[in-house]
Amino acid sequence: MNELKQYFYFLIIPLIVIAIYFLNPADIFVNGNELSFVSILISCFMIEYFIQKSKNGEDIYLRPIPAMKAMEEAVGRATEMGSSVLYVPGIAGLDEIDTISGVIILGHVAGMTAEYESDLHVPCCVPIVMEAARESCKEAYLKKGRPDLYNDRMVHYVTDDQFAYAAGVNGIMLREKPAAIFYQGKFYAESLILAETGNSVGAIQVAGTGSSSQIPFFVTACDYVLIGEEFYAASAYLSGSPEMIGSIKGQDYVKLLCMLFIGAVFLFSIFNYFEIFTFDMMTLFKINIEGYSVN
Amino acid sequence: MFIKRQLAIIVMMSMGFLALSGYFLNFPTLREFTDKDAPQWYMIIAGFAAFLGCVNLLQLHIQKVAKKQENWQYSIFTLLGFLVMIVFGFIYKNVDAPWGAHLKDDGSAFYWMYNFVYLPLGSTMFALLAFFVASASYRAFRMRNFEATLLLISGVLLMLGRVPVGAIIPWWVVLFMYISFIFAIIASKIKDKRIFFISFLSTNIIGLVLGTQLKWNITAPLFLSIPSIQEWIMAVPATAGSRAIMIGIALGILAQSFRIITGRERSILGD
Amino acid sequence: MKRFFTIVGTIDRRIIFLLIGLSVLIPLIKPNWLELPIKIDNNTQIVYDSISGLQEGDKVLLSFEYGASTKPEVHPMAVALLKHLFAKGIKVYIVSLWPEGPIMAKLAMDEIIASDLFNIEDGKDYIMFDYKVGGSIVIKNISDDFRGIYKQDYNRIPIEQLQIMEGVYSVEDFDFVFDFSAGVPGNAEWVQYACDPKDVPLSSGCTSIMVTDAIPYVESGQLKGILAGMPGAAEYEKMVYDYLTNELTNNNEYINENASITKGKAFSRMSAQSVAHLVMVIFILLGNLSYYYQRKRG
Repeated sequence: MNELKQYFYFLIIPLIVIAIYFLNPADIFVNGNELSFVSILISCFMIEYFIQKSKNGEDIYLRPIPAMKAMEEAVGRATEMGSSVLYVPGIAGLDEIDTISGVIILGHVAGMTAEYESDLHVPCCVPIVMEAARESCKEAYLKKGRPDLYNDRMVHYVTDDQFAYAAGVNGIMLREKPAAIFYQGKFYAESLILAETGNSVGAIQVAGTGSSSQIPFFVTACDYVLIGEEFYAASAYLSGSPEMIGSIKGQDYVKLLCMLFIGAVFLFSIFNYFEIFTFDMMTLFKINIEGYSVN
Repeated sequence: MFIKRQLAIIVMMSMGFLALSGYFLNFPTLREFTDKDAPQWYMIIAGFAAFLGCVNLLQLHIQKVAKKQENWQYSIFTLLGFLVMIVFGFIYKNVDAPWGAHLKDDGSAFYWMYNFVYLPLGSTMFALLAFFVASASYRAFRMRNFEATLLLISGVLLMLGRVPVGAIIPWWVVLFMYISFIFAIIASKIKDKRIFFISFLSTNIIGLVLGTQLKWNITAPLFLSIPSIQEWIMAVPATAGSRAIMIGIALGILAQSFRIITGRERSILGD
Repeated sequence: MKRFFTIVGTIDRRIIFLLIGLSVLIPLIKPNWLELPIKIDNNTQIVYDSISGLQEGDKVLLSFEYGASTKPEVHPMAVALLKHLFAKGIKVYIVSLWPEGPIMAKLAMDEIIASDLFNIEDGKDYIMFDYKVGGSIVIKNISDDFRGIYKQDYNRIPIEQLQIMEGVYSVEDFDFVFDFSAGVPGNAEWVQYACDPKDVPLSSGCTSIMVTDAIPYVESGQLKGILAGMPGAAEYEKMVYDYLTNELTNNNEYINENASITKGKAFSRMSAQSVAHLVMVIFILLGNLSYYYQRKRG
């Protein structure tokens, strides 16, 4: 019965929704957006399916990510050396998923610093991120039963400007000489400046970003790096909750679907080249949303 | 507690679904809300938050100066710079242009400070990257293993290929590099050093003679031209890697957004 | 010899900084000491051919998305492109999605006007719009309803009063879009929200760091070539310089007869970049030799 329910929920319902979208009764849906809709629907239901499976007790294996284990080591090292932990949450605002992930990981790192009783310093580039980071740190310290160790001056605003922020953080690194530095968020060109300065003060550095162009710089200068989607999975990894871990598995299956699609397009392009088929697959992937005029 | 937790989650979920629906549902009011009103609300909140940031900045540095904490002297410069820009941006304009437009007027003090103070400072900070790239490359591009060697070779080829000096490197230097690479791979198979050296030398000589015969000194083939190799590296392996990482990141964002919109990601609220 | 390589392997980073600094400074101060021929990259050629394919009277939208820190890399390509466009009698529409964008656009236009190459008039040959907050949302609005978002130009003249704005309602009314980007929003957002859905040709000039992110769009044809950092700017400057010199001798109606054509800043900086790259490569090779000897020693 349970299986029937799952079958209905994860297969029949999406098909019904897709059918309604394509039939488009009373023109309630935007035309030209079918590909996005189907992709998002399939992805969401797939992720939800694995979340449910995980909640029902299925054991899901996550490969160990060295950078995640290194976070606790880094905080421990800072405690042993009597030095502080510097956490850089990136230079973007809260509208970026990278920053949200960074603030989530900050909560976990703050929990570790509360437990180990080491100093935490979080310079922020955007005021609204400063507020979110403060909340995250405060809650983490409260949960660990050490609200006495938290003070607002731990998390402060530096400046909005990219390179002025980099200069400010560099100054903090050179003066305070933290033993552990975390770069978790959205970074642009200033990433190498920060990472190299951190390297010069001898700190252990753990980086994580979704900015693909900055990953090589972090890989070069940092000890551990969360590359690409490892960074987004980190919050789920750290929490250990079945729901979160299930979503990572679902994400992996969506990636598998993408790979199958790429393979199919590749095959079709070969068939088209040898004129076995003449169907242009590219037309399927064109998004032509009908505009609307504003009065 | 309700406001901090449950209400926050409800607002997060409803705004997420609303924004997503605006992309698929054909209701002009909804689309106008998601395309115009919602971003403007965000900008207004961010604007107030900027004010908050300024207050925090002033608070921190005034406290440092007042209590003469460590390095308090630098805070004076921060406060001075902040006040000077505020004065010329909001209080005093030394030109006839309207408020707001005076920021871009050639004769205004604000524009002068932007052009002659802020602009050189920004450029200088970006220029620091050149030094850091040099020291990072020097440290990181070491032949520790096969992957590191590949990284080294492609890094060197790209660095030379992107600048005019790459075009003047002759074909026989590139040929020498290829032969050296092949011999580096098979080096462990040849035990006798003399045989290794003789075969390496003779391969290079044969290559040189062959190249001269084929008139490569006049028109070098593409695989012996560093700029062409650089273009191929950018067009094929770099693009492939970049695409793969982009797809991975996009899926990571999708899953993260799904967790946030469905209210499962509560750590951002401190839960 | 081994001692030399051992010393090189443990060299103080400040010596590396000093040598890099000198390798950049000396060619900048004395550019005539080293003049290297510039080889045109395939992607730069595609950009040049795309712009060359435009006709007199075509409308090109330029988006300025860079600031002070990236000005040395991106600004020269903006100036070169503006020269190319004005020499062909193309109408230029300038928008800015970064707060510093209008200032950068103004500096570029001031350079063009000061060069006295063209007789261009604000509101007739080109139009500039002020900075709009919103990033990718602004791009989406430009894509659907240009006049809904821009009611007046940089000089606060209502757009209905400007001749150049006739027939411009959305991004589809432009013949080409060119984006100068140094971050977000940038070329990816233009591809995603405006040019690819509406099938408007798009190209971009960006910092070297951003090229790896943009290259998938170039390979798929969504971006018509790309000007990659300062080398791209120098290549484009050279091509535009050759074009303008040729057009001047052919009595191009848009170029002033007595104007003097200069090569541009990126061109003169390429020798500095070449030497700096060469010095870095030499250090990398020396570092590897030192590493090899140290490993051999045990």
